[in-house]
Amino acid sequence: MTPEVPRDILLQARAGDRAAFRAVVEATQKLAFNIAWRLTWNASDAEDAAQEIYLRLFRNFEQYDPAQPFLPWFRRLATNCVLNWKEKQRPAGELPESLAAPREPLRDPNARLQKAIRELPPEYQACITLKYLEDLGINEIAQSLQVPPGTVKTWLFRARELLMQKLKPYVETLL
Amino acid sequence: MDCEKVREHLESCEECRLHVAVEARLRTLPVLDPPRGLASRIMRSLPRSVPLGREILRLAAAAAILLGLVGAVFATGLDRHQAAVEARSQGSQILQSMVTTFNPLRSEMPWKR
Repeated sequence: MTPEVPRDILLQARAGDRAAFRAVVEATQKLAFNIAWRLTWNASDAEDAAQEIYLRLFRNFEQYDPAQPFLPWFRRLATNCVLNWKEKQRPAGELPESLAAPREPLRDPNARLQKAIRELPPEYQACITLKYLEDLGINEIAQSLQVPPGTVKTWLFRARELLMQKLKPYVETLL
Repeated sequence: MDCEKVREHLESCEECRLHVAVEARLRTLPVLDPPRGLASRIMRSLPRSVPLGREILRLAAAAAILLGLVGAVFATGLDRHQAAVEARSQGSQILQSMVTTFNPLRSEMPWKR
């Protein structure tokens, strides 16, 4: 899952070379699309959000410090971009998912899990996404989200606790 | 702790069963392939121009050159204007001196009266 992007391609893309930028897109699109999907749980939204990720990458590539590894910077850009994109898509006045009135009960255990994740605070969703999509360690997640490792541990702990609370009534169907 | 003991514990402890179930579900969430043609659609959606920061720098450079040119043209225009004013005043001085020179002669030409 974790992509590899050659350094010379990165530098050319950063300098504005469109062909090199396309190579970066092709190497990272699976990661970007899955980050977007795990934060939206909708393929069409994930595609729109992925386009937004690369538009932001194109505009802000110069901010990437080539002395640092690319992927943590890219994961952070992608995660922040999708969370902002989701916020912008929510019509004014509509409550966030965590505060909205419950809809009809879901039968599919994965759909229940997805709904439970959607209701988490954004920083918990980001942690859960990075942890389970690429099986990143605490330090890698901390590097990607630019927070101390202790904060990531706390967020992951609370995220799991909240998920367990929400899924407790369905424990038998989850197994 | 062997597997049998773990299983026994899980059967009796709902909290641990839930923990294992949630963890297992999170670890087995599918990883999707991106839709076909996504990279092309992304490339088409990008602006044609270079990134904004560089574009601003380029526009600033172009504006500076344009200002320089306008300034140069304006300065040259002023010079021309000044030269014209000077030439006009010199011309009128020459004319005046000619008038003063020829007027007495004119008075001496009776056929012009």
